Amino acid sequence: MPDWHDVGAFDELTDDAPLIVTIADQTIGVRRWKDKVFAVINRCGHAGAPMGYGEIHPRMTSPSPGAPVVVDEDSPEIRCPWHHWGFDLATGACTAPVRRPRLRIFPTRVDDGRVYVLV
Amino acid sequence: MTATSSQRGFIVDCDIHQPDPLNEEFAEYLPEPYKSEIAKWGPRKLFSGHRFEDGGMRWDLRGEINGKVMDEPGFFVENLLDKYDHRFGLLTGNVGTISGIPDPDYAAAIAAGLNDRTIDVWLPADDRFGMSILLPLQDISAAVAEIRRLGEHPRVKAVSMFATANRIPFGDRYYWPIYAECEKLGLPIHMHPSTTAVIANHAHTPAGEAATYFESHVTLPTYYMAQTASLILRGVFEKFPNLRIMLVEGGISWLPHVLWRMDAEYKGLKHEVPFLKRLPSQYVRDNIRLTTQPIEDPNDVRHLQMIMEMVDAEHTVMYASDFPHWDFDEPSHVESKLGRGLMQKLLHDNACEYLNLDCDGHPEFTSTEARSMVDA
Repeated sequence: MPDWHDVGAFDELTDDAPLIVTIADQTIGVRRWKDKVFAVINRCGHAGAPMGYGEIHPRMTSPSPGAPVVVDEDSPEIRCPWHHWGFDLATGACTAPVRRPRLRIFPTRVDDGRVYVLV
Repeated sequence: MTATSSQRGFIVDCDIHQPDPLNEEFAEYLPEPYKSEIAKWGPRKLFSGHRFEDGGMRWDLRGEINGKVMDEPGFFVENLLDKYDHRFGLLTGNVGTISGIPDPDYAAAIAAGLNDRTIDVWLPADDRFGMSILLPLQDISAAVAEIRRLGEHPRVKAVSMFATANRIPFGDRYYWPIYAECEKLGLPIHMHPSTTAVIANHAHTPAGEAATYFESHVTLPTYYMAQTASLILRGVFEKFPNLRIMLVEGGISWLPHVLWRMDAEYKGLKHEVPFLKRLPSQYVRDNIRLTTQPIEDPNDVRHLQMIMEMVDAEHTVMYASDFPHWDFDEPSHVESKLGRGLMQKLLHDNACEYLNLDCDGHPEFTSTEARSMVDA
């Protein structure tokens, strides 16, 4: 059964600094992005890079060439530190139209200023 | 045994980019007026105008790791040579610093200063480092002088040319004094792209200006196609039969098309190149090597493996990491694409031979699995 694990204080997390933790033999990157916290497996399914060090930014789309870019702050993606492949932080799906690889995402919550990851 | 033939490690890496310190500390390596110029105004810059995220560096290497930062040789030793069990790493610098800069005197001063600094600061840090020397291709006599100045240094293993920032194709006789000197010294030529300075070529692609880094980066192989045709069809390898060319970071899968097309058209157009004595494709095995990074990534890996067979990868392909750049390839990633059977040659033997390294000890390949960066 998965358990919630306390990984640290929310206030000590910054947007630029990943927290890398090992829980149940799995290395996990914990990331803050604005007022949200995400936890991802620290290994990209493409080439093995440490995903916890990826760049997080809003999803950017455009309905057609020349149309304004739509910046969706509610759908952040994380891009791998090597090769820059992007993954949806809600679902773990690659943000390019391919089925694989996917990125394993762990549920998180913040209680009383502490960050918990479900592993 | 040569100074670079460490008996430690297995992997021979053909492309490692040590940072260029174009700052006050670098001034001691420059003559006037460039010493004062850089101190007051900073280095001259030629840029593509494209979005270039974090200077193209891997995001996981920011800041300190075990108390070291990327500017230090020790950072490269720990995070590359030791981590992946390297036997040899070829330092190739940052070609964008001088490629495409119009002033030949400035380019010559910067190239010489960077070469001297690599010798002073980087080579002593680990006996597994060797280097490729930067050249000011803007002035062929200055380029030859730089080869003569440093080419016999025991840890100089190659000479750099910038395959995307030249205004004259590499088969042209303009470059032949360089080829003559390299052939004489037994130094291979390391042809590497310069994506940020590619604008020196007037346009990023044969079709015209690329709008984005993406568009520019994926069309880099078109330069390598043109350079390969130029080198072969202008008779460089007839004139310099022992010249060795390394095509670095330009991909591999384009090669069968170019070779097939050259061989087919040679039958009808060979009167235009009467000095060629062999089919164009036959020069590749003797005179050209390609490197793996960035390894192509088809949906079906068997397609890439078929191309490796078409290009005789067992003899013509060598490993390059491109560390610390964003499209770095771990050795294990290359093995996962190309299969274990090629790894002895690609990760070690081919580059050992091409870079004139001492191959004593001939380590036997086992697996790259233990050399993977992250365990999760």
